[in-house]
Amino acid sequence: MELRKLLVETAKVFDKLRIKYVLIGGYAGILYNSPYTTADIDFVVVSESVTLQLVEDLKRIDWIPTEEYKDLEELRAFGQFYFKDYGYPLHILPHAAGYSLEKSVRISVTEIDGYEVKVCSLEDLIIMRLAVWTDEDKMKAAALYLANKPDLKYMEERAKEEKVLSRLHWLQKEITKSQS
Amino acid sequence: MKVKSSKGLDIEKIKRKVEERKRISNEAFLDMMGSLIELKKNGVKKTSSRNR
Repeated sequence: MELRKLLVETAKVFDKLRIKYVLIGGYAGILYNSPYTTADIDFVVVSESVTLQLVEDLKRIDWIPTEEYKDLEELRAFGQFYFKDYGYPLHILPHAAGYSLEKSVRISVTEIDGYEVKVCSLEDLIIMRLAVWTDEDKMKAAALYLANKPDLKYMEERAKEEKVLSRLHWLQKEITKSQS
Repeated sequence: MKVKSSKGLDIEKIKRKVEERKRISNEAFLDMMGSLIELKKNGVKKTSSRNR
């Protein structure tokens, strides 16, 4: 199965089960024109909306769970699957560093192969990179910043909430420095 | 474990990558990534059959 189709089919499973989700990580980055490839698909969900039916429905589209997930709380804490054909991993998280769906975050909707997939906002994606702050994350945050026009007001607000404002200012300084 | 550092960024290099990426649509980029994964998978298979 093509990666795009796999992504859409996975989003369809979430929607069918009324699980509130957003795509984050490298895949979301690609949808915001990031030049970096990724080794997995990451979703943040509202964990209370997750049921064990998710495991069965994901199995139907060839996602193999790495655990048995007999306990709902285990699945809600962290769900990991891999794709039968590629061994490609899928992560389902209740929150990520610098991000949670319980907060009033912006969600974008992107059409992939005619299906609307919910994706975290560009600004939140940058904030998540700043929250992790490895060299790789800084680079990816800069690429996202350069490839798009982030909403600076919203990004500052979110950076304050996630306590990464000084990191955002550092990134902005690095970008401005190169433009002068 | 990934190392954290206060090293500066090579913004020019990132800019070049961003510009190159702009020439490719998201769909084409995802398809390209899918092909790379498949290639990697097939490569692993070949190695294991050679070992048998």
